[in-house]
Amino acid sequence: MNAEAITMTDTALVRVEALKKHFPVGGGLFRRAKSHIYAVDDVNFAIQKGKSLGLVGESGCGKTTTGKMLARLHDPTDGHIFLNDMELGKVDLAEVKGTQLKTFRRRVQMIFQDPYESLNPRRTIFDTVVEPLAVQGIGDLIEREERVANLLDLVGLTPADTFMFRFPHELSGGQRQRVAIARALIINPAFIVADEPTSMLDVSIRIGVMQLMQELADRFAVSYLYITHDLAVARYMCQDIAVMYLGKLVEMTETEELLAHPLHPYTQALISAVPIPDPRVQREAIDIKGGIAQPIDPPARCRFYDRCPRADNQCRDNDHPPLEDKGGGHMVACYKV
Amino acid sequence: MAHYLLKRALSSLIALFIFVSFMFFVTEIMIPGDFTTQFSEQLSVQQRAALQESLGLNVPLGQRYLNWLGNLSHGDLGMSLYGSAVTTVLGNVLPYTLLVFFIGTLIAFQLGQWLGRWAAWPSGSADRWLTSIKRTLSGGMSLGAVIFYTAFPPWLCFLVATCLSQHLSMVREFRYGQRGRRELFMGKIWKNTALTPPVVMVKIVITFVVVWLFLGWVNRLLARKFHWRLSVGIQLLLFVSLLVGSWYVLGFGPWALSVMESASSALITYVLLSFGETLLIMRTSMADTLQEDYITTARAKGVAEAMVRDGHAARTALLPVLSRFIVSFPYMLTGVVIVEDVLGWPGVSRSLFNSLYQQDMPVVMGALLLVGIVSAVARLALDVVYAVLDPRIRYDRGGLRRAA
Ligand SMILES: Nc1ncnc2c1ncn2[C@@H]1O[C@H](COP(=O)(O)OP(=O)(O)OP(=O)(O)O)[C@@H](O)[C@H]1O
Ligand code: SF4
Ligand SMILES: [Mg+2]
Repeated sequence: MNAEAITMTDTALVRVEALKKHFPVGGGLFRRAKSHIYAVDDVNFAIQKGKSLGLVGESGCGKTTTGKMLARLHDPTDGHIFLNDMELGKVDLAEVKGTQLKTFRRRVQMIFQDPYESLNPRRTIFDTVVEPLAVQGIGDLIEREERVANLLDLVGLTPADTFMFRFPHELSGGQRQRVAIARALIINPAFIVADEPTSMLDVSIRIGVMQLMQELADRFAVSYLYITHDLAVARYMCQDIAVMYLGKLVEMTETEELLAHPLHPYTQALISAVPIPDPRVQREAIDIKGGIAQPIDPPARCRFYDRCPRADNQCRDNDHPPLEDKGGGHMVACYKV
Repeated sequence: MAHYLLKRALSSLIALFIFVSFMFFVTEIMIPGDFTTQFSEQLSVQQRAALQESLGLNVPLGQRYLNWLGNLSHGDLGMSLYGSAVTTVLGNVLPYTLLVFFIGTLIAFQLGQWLGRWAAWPSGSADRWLTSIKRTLSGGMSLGAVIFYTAFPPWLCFLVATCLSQHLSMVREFRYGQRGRRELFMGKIWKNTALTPPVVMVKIVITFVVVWLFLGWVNRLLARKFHWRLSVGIQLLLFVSLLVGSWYVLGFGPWALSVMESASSALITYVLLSFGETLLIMRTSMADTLQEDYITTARAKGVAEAMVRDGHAARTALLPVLSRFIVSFPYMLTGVVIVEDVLGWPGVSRSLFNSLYQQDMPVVMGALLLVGIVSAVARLALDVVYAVLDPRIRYDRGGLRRAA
C-alpha cells in the first residue's frame, strides 16, 4: 500500500480493502459448489466523514452485495472493511462481536430499495421505527414515543400521530420510504448504506425524498454509500462516484470530474446514454455491444472486454486491469487510458 | 369488525340450520326401520306397535321435524329413546371430545409450528457439516410429518396404543379400548369424591387455555418491554409446571392426572395425525418469509436472531397455516371421530355412532347439532385470530377484503 493511502486511512470513516464476495452456485447437500458468482471482486474505496460516495452500475453488478457487506448483512469472502467512528473506534468489521456489534448496529444502518418489501406489513409505523431503540435499550416507552414522533415530523410525515399507528399498506410508496429513512435515522447512525432508495418511487416524488436525505445528512452529519444506477441521482447526492462493472470498480473520482471527463469506456457509454438537458450540445452516442452477463468464474481478462469498443489483445491476454490513479485522484481501471 | 362477525355468525347459523334439517330427513329416510327394529326378535308385533306409539315414532316425519324444531327453539333437545334427556347424554360425553379435540389441536398446532419454524431456519453456522446435518435432520422430520399425516389413522391408533400400553407400560390402554367406558376411571381415587371425569375434563380444558393465553401474554410483554422472548424449552417447562401446578392449587390435581393418563393415547394419536400438516405448511411459509426484505431490515436494525425468527418471520409465516386450518377443520373432526372410535374413547362421535346403530334419533340429531356448533364457533374464532395477525385484512361491509 502506498504512503498516500496510509495517511487517508486516518481520516476515512469507511475504508474497504480488497473486498470480495463469491456466491457458490450449483452446490448440493454434501457437495462443494463447482463454480462461483464473483459478485464483488477485489473492490477498494474509502468514504470520508461527512461525505457521500455514489456507487453506480448496471443491474447485477454487485452494488447491493457491496452495501450489504458494509452493513454486515453478508460476510465477505475475503478482504477487509475498516470503520473509524468516534463511538466504535477504529475497527475491522470482521472482528466486531458482542457489545461492539450492538454499537455497530447503532452506527451503521441500511435503507433498502423497495419500500413495499422492506417494512414488516404486520407492524405499525411506530413499531417499525421504534424497534432499533428497543434493541439498543434506549429510553423508556414515553421517551421513545416522543423521539419517533419528532423524527416522523422531520421526515415529513406530519402530523406524526396520524401516521404512527397506521400500517405500511395504508401509506404511499414515498411515505413508506420516508418511514424507512426515519427507521434508519432514529438511532443517529454515522453511516448509512442507501440502496437505490428512490428507484422504486414515482419520478415526481423522487426529488422530495432525495432532498430529505440531503437535509438529514447535513443535519445529523451522516455519510452515505449511495447506491444507484442513475448518474443524475448520484450527482445530486454525492461528492464522489465509483462506477462498478461485474463485481469490479472501473472508475472512481469526484462527481463533477467524472461527469466532465469520464475516462473508462464503460463510464463513457453510461454517460452518453444519459439525455443532455441542453439541446444544442451534441454528444456522440457510444455503443456497447451485448447485454450484461453474470460474473460466473470469469476468465482472467478485462471484465469489460466482451463489450468494449476499444478492446485489443492486451486486454484479452492480461488479467483485469488494476484501479490506478490517472492523475489528480482520478482512478481508472483500463489499459488504454 | 363487529359488523362482519355478526354477519358471519348469522350465516353460520343459517348454514347450521340447513345442515341439521338436511341430516334430519336423510337419516330418517335413508335408514330403514326405526328404534324398535333392534328389539324385533324379542317383541311381538303388537308390543312393537305399542312401543312405537309410546315413543312417538308413529307421528308423521314432517310433524316430528316441526316438533323437534319447536323444542330446539327453547333449548330442549328432546329425550333419548332410552329415557334420559339428550342434553344430559351429550353433556356427559362432550367433555371427552373437548379434551382430545381442543387440547390436541392446540398441541399439534404449537408442535407443528415450532418444528416447522426450526426446519426452515438456516443453521447459522458456517461449518458445512453442521449445516448438512441440520438440513438432513429437518428433511427427515418433514418426511416423518408426511408419514404421520398420511398414515391410515386406525393403524396409527393401534400403534400408539400398543406402544403406550406394552412397551412403556404406562396405561392399560386396551382395557378401556375394548370394553368401553365402564372400565375407565375405576381407580381408587374416583371413589369417595364428588368429582366426575367430565367435570375434571372441563376444568382441564379451561386451565389449559388460560395458561396458554397467559404465557402468550407474558411473551408479548417481554418482547415489548425488553425485546426478548422465552426460549421454546423454557416455555414448555413453564407451561407444564404452571398447568399441573394450577390443577393442584385448584384441588383436582390427582384426578386431572388420572384423566390425562387415560386420555394420553387418544391425545397422542390425534396430535400425531394432525401436527404434520402444520409443520409442512409452516416450513414452506417460513422459508418464503425469510426471503423477505423486512427480515433483512430487522437484522440491519440489530434485532437478535431469535427475535427475527419468532417476532418478525414466524408471525407472518403463521398466516398460511391458519388459512389451511380453516380449510382442514372437517378433516380434523374426522380424525377425532376415528381416534375415539378405535380407542374406545367415549366422546361425542362414539355416542353418535352408537345412537345411529340403535336409531336413537334424538341423540343423533343432538350430536350432529353439537358438531355443527363446534365447527362454526371454531371457524369464527379462526377468522378473528387471522384478522388480529394480519392488519391488511379488513373486515368491512360483510366482506373479507385484502388491501393492496
Ligand atoms: N444471496 C445470493 N446468492 C447467490 N447469488 C447472489 C446472491 N445475492 C446476489 N447474487 C448475485 O450476485 C450478483 C450481484 O447482485 P447484486 O444484488 O449485488 O446486484 P446489484 O448491483 O445490486 O443489482 P440491482 O441493480 O439489480 O439491484 C448477481 O449476479 C446476483 O445474481
Ligand atoms: S482494459 Fe481494454 S477491454 Fe478493458 S475497458 Fe480498457 S480498453 Fe476496454
Ligand atoms: Mg441491488
